[in-house]
Order: sequence, then structure tokens, then C-alpha cells
Amino acid sequence: MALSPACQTFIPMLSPFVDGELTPAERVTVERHLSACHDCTGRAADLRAESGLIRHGLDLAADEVDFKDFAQKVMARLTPYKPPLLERLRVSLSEMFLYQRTAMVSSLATAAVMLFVVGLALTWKGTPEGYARPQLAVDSVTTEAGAKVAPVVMTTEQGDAIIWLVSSEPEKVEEGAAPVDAPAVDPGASAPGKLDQHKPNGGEL
Amino acid sequence: MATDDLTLVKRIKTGDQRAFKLLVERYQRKIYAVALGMVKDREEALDISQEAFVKVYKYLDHFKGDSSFYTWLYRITVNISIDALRKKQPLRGEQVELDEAVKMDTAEANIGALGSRLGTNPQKSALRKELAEKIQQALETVPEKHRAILLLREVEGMSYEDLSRTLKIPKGTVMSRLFHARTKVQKILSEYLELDESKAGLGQE
Amino acid sequence: MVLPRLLGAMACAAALAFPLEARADGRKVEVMADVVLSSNKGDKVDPPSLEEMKKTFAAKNIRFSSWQALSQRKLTLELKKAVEVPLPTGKKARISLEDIKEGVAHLRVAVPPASTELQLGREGKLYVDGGQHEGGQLWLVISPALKPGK
Repeated sequence: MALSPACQTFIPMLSPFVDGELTPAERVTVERHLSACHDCTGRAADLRAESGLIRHGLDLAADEVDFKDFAQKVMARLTPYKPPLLERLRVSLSEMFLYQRTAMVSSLATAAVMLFVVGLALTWKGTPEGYARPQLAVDSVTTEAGAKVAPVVMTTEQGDAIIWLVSSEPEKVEEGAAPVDAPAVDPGASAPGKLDQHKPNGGEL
Repeated sequence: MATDDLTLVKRIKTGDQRAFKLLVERYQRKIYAVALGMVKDREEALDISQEAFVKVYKYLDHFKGDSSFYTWLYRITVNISIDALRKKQPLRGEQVELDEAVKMDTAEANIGALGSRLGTNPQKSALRKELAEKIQQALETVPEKHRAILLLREVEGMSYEDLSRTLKIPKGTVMSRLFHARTKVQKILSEYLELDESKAGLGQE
Repeated sequence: MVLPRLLGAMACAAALAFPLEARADGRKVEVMADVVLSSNKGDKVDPPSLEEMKKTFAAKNIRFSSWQALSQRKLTLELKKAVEVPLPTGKKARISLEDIKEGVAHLRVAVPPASTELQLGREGKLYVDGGQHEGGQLWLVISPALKPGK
């Protein structure tokens, strides 16, 4: 099955398209093609899915590693660099201020927080019904039989869940309705998803 | 209270090893993910990751802060990975760098298969377990330099601009390499998913 | 010095917190259900609190320039009684409380043609694809309703 000249032009553009790297003018032309081309819409969905799968796959692999000792091992490989004593003292004092400031402040804050929580508890009837879990969890997503979509489930850093339906059939464009706006995908966003979740924040003690 | 990279770098240069530890912890998981995607072997990927940070520490004076720290770190990681790959298979080396238009596979199997066939039960899908391995296998078939771009794009979410700067190649090359890498991986993943689908039945765990 | 008093007060607070298990009958769970329309037509984010949603989606590489809340409701869910939330497309989303197990609410959120089963948490929102509408993308947002007296 030969590719149409249009598809031949647009297929290579789908990759930067899903990455949000096209100029607005280019993006519009791609979207126009997508609204008319079922195959390319599928291809774009495939690209997005693949993107997510690679990230997810590497996520899983990274999950299996215990990074507890990683930094230590790195340090051990370094040629030990020991600045003179005075320098070391100076550095450790300043480190103490820079990094442990948080601990000092937080122990002062704890007392205040405790008082506040107690006050709050006295007026509040406790955890509302149904909210024993700290975090939302999606158990399953099903689609109606014959539905021409498949769900994509994404979790965010904050523990939210996004259920996105990806069409596997041509979309019916209603008469008079504007062609569907595909979301502009922006790669400039800082790396999304789970790969961030397990990382301790820099600056944390 | 996240301290930004450049501030940490400045502190490291004054001998603050704690700042270095923070930097390691900030990027260890992602660096590992990229290294793993490049070399497939976990032990080796761990080794490469540590080596990357060691190199960063050693050559910190060479980092002038005119580019972002993380692109520099990633470039080092990719270079070490490629060196490791070359040592193992010196003849394979540079597979034909298909930067020109590649003959489009007109016999594309299953357009839309990936997009529509994804795990509906994010926590329970059996797809998860084999997925990481399949991704690794698929990545192995991609030429190293293409692989690096794909990994940096997916793991770190780097923009084409950043990718261009990290790998020191023109933006157009980034675009075409990414497209080729994705096409390759996509094909393998689609075939795998179709196989998996016919084995397990759609929608089952 | 302050400690014994604090401990005493905390004990009181703990005692007050416990009745939640005793409330067995007429169990109700409250959630917020918002309908949001995202599109690339213009860049109005209304209300401004939707900036957070915009950022959340952008982090997942889904970007729209315009985010508008079409409706906001607080739902009170009772066991097995579905509540409908109408969508501008004419479809109706149905949210039902399926069960409460060990204090955790199990919900079903059905936005045709998909149905999601989930466990509610004190944090975390559920964003469900509500289909296309007027050139944009609809989302049904289910989030915790925790503020006392709200």
C-alpha cells in the first residue's frame, strides 16, 4: 500500500509535532492533515504511546535499583581531596548553616504546628468519611464494548491520575465544528512523570 | 528548598562535598536510566553512571557555566556509554548514519496498535514486567547516536535546542535522528504488543 | 514546660478524631466534581486556580493554552447511588460510591465510553477525558472535598 504524497510529507513531521517543536504555522498544517487522515492520527498516537512506554520502561528499570549507596560509591571513587584544616572547618561551619538551617527552623516550627493542629482538631471532626488513604489510586479503567477508544492512564508527580482516551478509529468531525485542536506537546517542560518521584530533592537533609 | 545546579556547582568548586552529593542524588536516577538505555547491562550502566559523576567532579573547572549543567552531565554520560559500547563491539561501531530520508516502511504493521493497546490497569498489567526488557531490546537495534537522542528526549524531556547543544549536532539532525529512532523502536514494540495481545486477550491482565 | 500541656491537648484531639469509625450508618463521601474545557483558542485561564491543572498537564507533555472551568460541584455520594454530572456534549458522567473499606472510599467514575474505578485519597485528583467539545478537550476532574464546613 503506497503512501500518499501528503502522508510522505507529514509523517516525518509527526515526531517533532508530538514533541511540540513545530512552529505554529507548521503545527496548523499538521493538525489539518491529521483531521483528514486516519492513519496519521494513528501514527501520532503511536508516537505518543511509544514516548510514554520508553519513559515508563526505563522508569521501571530504574525502580529496581537501590540508589541508597550510589552517592557514597561515587565519593569513594574520587581522588580524595582534603583541603587544609582551617578550610575544612570553615566549610563545615558554613555547610552546617546552609544545610541544617532547615532542621533548626523546623524544630521551632513544629511547636507552632502542633498547637495549630490541636486547635484545628478541636474544631474539626477528624478525617472525613472515605479519606483514610493519603493518596488517590486508580484500580482499573474499562471501556464500553465496541468503543473505538483505548484509555491511557498517566500519573503525575503529585500523585494525580489522568485518564486520556486515545481513538483508534477516525474521529467524526461534526458538521460546522472546528477541527479538533490537538494539544501542543511541549518538550521544554521539565522531565515529566515518575522518573522525578523517587529522586530526593536537592537541598533536602 | 531546591538549590539550583549552578549554585551547587559553585559550592563544589570551593570544596563543598556535600553540595556534590546533592547533585549526585538529584541526577543519579536519570543518568542511570540513560546509561541503561544505552548499554542495556545493569551493572555496566551503574558503573557508567558513577563514572559520569566522577568525571564531572574531576573536570568541574572545565565547566564554565555558560551552558546548563545537566546538558554537560548528560553529554559526559552519553560519551562514556558510547565508549563502552565501542569497546564491546568495535566493528559494529557506527552503523550507517541514516540522516537522509529513509525509505519509509510502507508495509507498516498495525498503525495505531501502540496508541490503542496500552495497559489499562496501570498497577496490574502483566505488560509491565516484560516491558522494561522489551524496551531495552528495541533500543539495542537503534544506532548509538540515535539511541542517545531518544533517551535524552524521553528521560530528561530535553528540547531539540538542548539536544542540539548537548550532542553538538544541528537541530535538523536531532529531528531526523529522533524520527528514525522512534520509527525503529515503534515497529518492534508494535510487533511485540500484537504478539502479547493475541496471547493474552485484549483487556486481560 | 509546654510539653505536658501539648500532650494533653493532643490526646483530646485524638479522642475527638476517632468517632469517624463509629459513624457507620448513612455513610456519605463528599468529592468535588469540576468540568473543565481546555483548548488552544486564546490563552484565558479561568479561574486562575486552573493554572495548576495547566501545569500538571504540561508536565505530561499535554499543552493547551486556554483552560476554562465550565462547572464546579460538590457531590455527596451515598453507597450505590450514582450521581450524574452533565457534560456540555450532552453526555452524562456518572459518579458512584461503590464501597467504603477500612475508611477508604471506592468510587466508580463513568464518563462514556470509559469507566474508571479508583480509591479516594486525601491527595490526588482524577482527570478524565470527557471528549471533544467545540474544538477543545473536556475534562472531568474529581478531587477531594476536605475543607471543613466548605
